[in-house]
Amino acid sequence: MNYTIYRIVKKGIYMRLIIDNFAKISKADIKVDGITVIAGENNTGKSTIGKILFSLFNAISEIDEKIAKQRIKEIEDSCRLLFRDYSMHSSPKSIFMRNSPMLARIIANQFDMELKKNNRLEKSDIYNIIHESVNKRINLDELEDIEWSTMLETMTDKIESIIGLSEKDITLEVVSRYFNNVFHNQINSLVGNSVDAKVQLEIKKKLIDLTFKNNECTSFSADIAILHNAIYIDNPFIIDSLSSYFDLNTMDEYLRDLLTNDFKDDIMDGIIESVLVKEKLSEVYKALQNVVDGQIIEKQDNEYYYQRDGFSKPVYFNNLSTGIKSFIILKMLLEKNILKEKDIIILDEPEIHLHPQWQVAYAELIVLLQKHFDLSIIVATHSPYFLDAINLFSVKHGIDNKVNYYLSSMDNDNQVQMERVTDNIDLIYKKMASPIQILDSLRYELNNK
Amino acid sequence: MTEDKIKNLPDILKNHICTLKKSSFDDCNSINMCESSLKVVDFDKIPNEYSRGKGWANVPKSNDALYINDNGWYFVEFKNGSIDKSEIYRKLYDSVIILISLNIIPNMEFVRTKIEYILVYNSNKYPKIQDSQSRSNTFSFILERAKIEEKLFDIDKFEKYIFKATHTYSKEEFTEKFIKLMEKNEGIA
Repeated sequence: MNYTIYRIVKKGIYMRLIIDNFAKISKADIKVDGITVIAGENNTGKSTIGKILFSLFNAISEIDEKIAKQRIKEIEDSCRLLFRDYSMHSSPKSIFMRNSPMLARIIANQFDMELKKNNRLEKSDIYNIIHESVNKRINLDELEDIEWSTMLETMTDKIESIIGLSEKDITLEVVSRYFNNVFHNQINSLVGNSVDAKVQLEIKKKLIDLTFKNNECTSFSADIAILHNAIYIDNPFIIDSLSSYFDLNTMDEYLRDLLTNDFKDDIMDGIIESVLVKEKLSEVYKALQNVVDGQIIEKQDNEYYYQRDGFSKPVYFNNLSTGIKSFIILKMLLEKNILKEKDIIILDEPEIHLHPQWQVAYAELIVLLQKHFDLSIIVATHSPYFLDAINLFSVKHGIDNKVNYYLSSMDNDNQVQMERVTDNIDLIYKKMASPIQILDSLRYELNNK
Repeated sequence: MTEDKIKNLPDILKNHICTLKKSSFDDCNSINMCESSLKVVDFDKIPNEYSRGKGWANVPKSNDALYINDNGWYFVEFKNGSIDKSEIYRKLYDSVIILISLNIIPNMEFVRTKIEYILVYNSNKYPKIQDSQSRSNTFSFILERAKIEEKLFDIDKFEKYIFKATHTYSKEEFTEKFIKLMEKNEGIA
């Protein structure tokens, strides 16, 4: 068989992520097709790639729903502010001081329903909706003062302008907020803020295009809708917080929500998928059982335990070793049917809490998950064991033509470049090997003093 | 070095031929760092001859041996015990300067394209640090994948702009990677 042709046929569709002047990265052109390994020294923007992909996917997946939600949220926020302002300057303060958040919510919910029926509301409609919503709760006869009428008019105008906002403007706002949450308002290049940051994602020859100026998304276009999840895993301790409501960073919060979502709305949901998954899973499960051979037990209020054979009591999640936690996250993603075909998984240095033996086991799992779910996996790593294991297992399980390797490095102007080194992985190992020469030189020095 | 090569050397080098074993002799400890009978230029002797009658207050330093074959020139420095980088560096610079100023080689370009530098060290003379074969295996695992030859004491920084290549070998590695190869080439193995 002609090898070149075989490769092309087998490769099929892939994504390409093109980045210009985003945070630390001056330029990157990353192929995301199967497993994308990103290596490089600390502080060279390895995680940035994963975070960009995470933000892009989750900001613009189901964007219509997000736009509608954002519109309603804006209505609620403006109403609350106007009520608060009014309550400070009018006589029946107490009613509004107490009730303004609730009233704002009632109005926003009413608009939510009305806008689903009809997205073009006349000014008089808007006025009436506000008036009726408030009237349900408060006797408006007591409020017939001049301030009230003025406030009502202001509110009508405000809501009219919110409803009139174009989808495009709201999209830009949704995208800006999502990216800013993830990047803590440091999207535009840290050196030379004046340059536009650009992110392009090419899927099946179609393009999603984003531009950021001064940490705001200034242009957005998408020829294709995003239908898949992007899951970011960088912190095994996330499973300690499943039953808590602590604020987490955007990536961790997203994962926690996935892991604790009960999907109880319809018990038939996902049944077909679940059968399919089980068939595919036997190979994945075998690999997983080598490390986590016990059962995950869910008690009420997202209290999770892990029961191993031969142990009389289940272990509370918090008490598990960190290494086990890393595997438990994968086990939960599978058992709860969270993982769907073609989803994106982003792993930031998954080896950190793992002994080399388990790094190797984890790498094989990642390879098998890619193979059976056709996932796109971005993985940043510092570990020679993990790197070698990904390389070898991808050959063993026949997906080596779907693994790409990149090496990030920083130039003299503190700008990060990403070099594709798929055909010479030894460049990655060279970076990892440099400390050995330092240590062995020191060993010699000490041994010969 | 084959007799053929020695015959064509300039006198100053030809007059100081010895075995590699002799050039590896450590005066302080009275031991040889290798056993090979390969012929080399006893380069230690060259600085004295080079500076004779010049009236310099300081005589240049030099590497221990110079080996020449059809493939290239090899400076060898034997170090039994602690490594003083500045001393090592001075020796390698001075050796190059001597070769050029005696017109034995034409220029730096010759050094960059023809001459390799080998530092042979005696590991663990006073072993203070716990030895671990497994650690060494672990390090080798990474070095093999990186496809790099380990080079200690920052010697690799002299590569390309001064020497064609540099190496740092333990006594054992020197035997494996240099002596056996050259002896085989000369047909003495």
